[in-house]
Formats: sequence, structure tokens, C-alpha cells
Amino acid sequence: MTTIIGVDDTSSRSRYARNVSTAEVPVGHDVETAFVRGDEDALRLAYDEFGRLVYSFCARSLDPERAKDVTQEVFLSAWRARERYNPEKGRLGAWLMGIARNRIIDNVRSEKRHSDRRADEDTVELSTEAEVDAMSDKMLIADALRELPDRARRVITLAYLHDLTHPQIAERTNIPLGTVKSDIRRGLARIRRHLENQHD
Amino acid sequence: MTDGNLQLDENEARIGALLRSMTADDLEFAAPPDGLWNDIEAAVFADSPSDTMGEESGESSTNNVVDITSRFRRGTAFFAAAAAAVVVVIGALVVSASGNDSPTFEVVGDARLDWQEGFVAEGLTVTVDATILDTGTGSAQAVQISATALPPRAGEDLELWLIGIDTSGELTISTLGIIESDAVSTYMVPDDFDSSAFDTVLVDISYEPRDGDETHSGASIVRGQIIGT
Repeated sequence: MTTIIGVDDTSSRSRYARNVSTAEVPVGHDVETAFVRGDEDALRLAYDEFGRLVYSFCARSLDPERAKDVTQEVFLSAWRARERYNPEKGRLGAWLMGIARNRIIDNVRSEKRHSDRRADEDTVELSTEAEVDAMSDKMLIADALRELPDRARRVITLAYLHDLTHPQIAERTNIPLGTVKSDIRRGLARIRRHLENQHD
Repeated sequence: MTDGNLQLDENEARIGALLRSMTADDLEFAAPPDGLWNDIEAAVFADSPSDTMGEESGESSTNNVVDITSRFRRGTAFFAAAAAAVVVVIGALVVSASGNDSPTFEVVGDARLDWQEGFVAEGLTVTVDATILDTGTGSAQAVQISATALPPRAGEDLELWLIGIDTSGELTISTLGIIESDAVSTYMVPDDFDSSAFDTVLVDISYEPRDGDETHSGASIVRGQIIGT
């Protein structure tokens, strides 16, 4: 593959300076870098960025006291196992949610076993896992929406949560249809990356 | 609504389905209880009191500014290539964006995009017309491109770019987004791309792999210089 934009070898000042608004630059990578390095303030940064996400996930599945305990366990075990986190395998939020997911399922199973010993455990566990996984995905999607540039977030919200067609969105927002479609396409791709977690 | 012809992959379509099932409540998160951080910090300290949170490596943080040479081949005379583009000047007149989406925008410039030596899609003869539009809202501009009929590549998108070149030869590359190859479409220019700040502004269309890297791949297909802005 050949490329075209070239600069004279003498023009050492030339550089690729992608001109996007700061709102478009994905956030969160600083905390991931700090976490991998084990920086002194990395766990605090991770808590500040993902504490609400993880706690809300726990609080939707467990009672408040247990939700608090499990959230603490998630951040503690993540910190202790930080060398296993690889930013190339997924965003830190998705990794933390993966840890939280396992803890929540363990807790829910334990609760159900105590409350209804006669239930078909396999069925209970399958539905629990599916529900918790769907909840985790929805919460990561909601978190990803916050990170999108304002225009893309607005367009995706109108398209999916308000069920408007692309031309209707273009008309309502006065944004050209091409940009509407591009924002949705790129926005969904960014959300997908936000959910990816290929850690074992 | 449907996803139309957005060409979503399986995961993106699933995300779309989940989004449709979400309500406003799903977008709200609860704040963790007061004191939770203190409990976490105390537990970490109990783990390792002499070195509470690990060590710093001193590694520099990531830099958003990527050297042009890491993405593009050096030494190509792009000025000559740009000059080869046929110049079309259209004076200020008000048009309704034809066959399309857009509100009425004023035409302020034009570019004709051609395949150039060294581009991918060897020997491509398709020409794409780009019209630069003033949207009438502040300094915001938009670019309308003709039905491109550019050959698709499996698993890749077509992306529209503006490349600004200032007096010192510095390049600023800004995306206008992923485009469709079969429609007259209009795309907003990002607010922070000020065309008047550059000596030369080029319109460029490239193939972009869906690899999460949102910088220009270097695989340009057609390009042309804007005249008239």
C-alpha cells in the first residue's frame, strides 16, 4: 500500500496533527496507562471514572449493603491483579465490569440457593447469567454514550431511544443526512470497542 | 427504525438492538455510598503499607500528536498532485442541496477529486465532485460530495477528510466522517477546522479498515484541492 500525503524531508516541522475537537478525543486512556504502570493514583483515578458504573451494576442486582461490599471487592481484586489487565484486550471499564459480573453472579447464585433449594439450579443459573450479561452490556453502552461527542450522542439517542429515522433526525437537528449516518456508524463502532473485553 | 444501509457488523447490530431496549433510567447511574473509597484505600494499604499503590515507571504519557511520517510516506510531491486537479470555481450562489438531505446552504467553493499516482485503487477513473457549503450558522461549513461510485473494499469504510496546509507546510487532517459510495451526501466540517487558516485545503477520500484507529490510514483513493473558499 502506498501513501500520498508527503512532506519534503527538509520539512522537519511537518507532522500529523489530527484536528478534532477535544470532545472527540476518546477519554479514559490516561487512567488505563496509569493502571498498567501501577501509578500511585491509578486506583483512585479508576474509581473516580468507573466507581459509579461498577456500583450501579452491583446495586441493580444485589441489596445495597452487598452492592457496596462487592464494589469494594471488584476494585481491590482489580488492583491486585492489575498486571493481568491489557489495554489491547479491552477498555478498563469493560474489564472491571467483567470482574463485577462474576462476583454478582456468585452472589445471586448463593442467594437463590439459600432462598429456594428446590429450584432447578441449571435453569436459574442460565437465566441469571443472561440477565446479568445483558445488564452489564446496557450499562457499558450507557457509559460509552457519555464519552461520545455531543452531536453523535444526540443523533444516536434520537435514532435508537426515540426511534426516529435518519431523515427525521436530519430534519429535526438541521444536521446533513450524511453526517447523521456517519455519526451513527462511527458512534456504534466506538460503543462496540467500549464493550470489548477479551481477557480470560 | 432500521439501520438502513449502515453496514453494521454483528456486534454493532446487537448494540443497536440493546440501545432500542434501553430507557432513560438505563442512562442514570447511582453514586457509590460515602466512605466506599476510604474502605478501598484502607484495604489496599493493609495489603502493602510500605508501597500503597505500586510504583511509577516514569514512562511518558501517550501523545496524541502523531508524526506525519509514521502514517504517510515522505517525499511525495503532493502539491503537484493537488495542482493536477481540475479547477472549478463557483461563485457565491444559493442552491438547495440537490437530491438530498440538506437544508439550503450557500456554495462557497468546489473541488474535483481524482485518483492520483501513488494512490490505492490503481488506475481508477472515477471523479468525485465536492462542493463546499456555508451552512449559515456561524462559520460552520459542510462538504457535499457527488455519488462517488468508488469501488468498495470488504471490511473497510470510505472516509472523507479535509487536509489543511499552512504557510510552513504544516498539515492538519480532519475527518468529516464515514461516507456512502452511492449517494449525493453532505457532511459537516468540524467546528475547529478553519479553512481560512490554511494556504491550501484538500478534500480526500480514503479506505479505512475497521480497526479502531481513527487516524488516516494513508490509503487515499481520490483527492482534489478546494478552490474558492
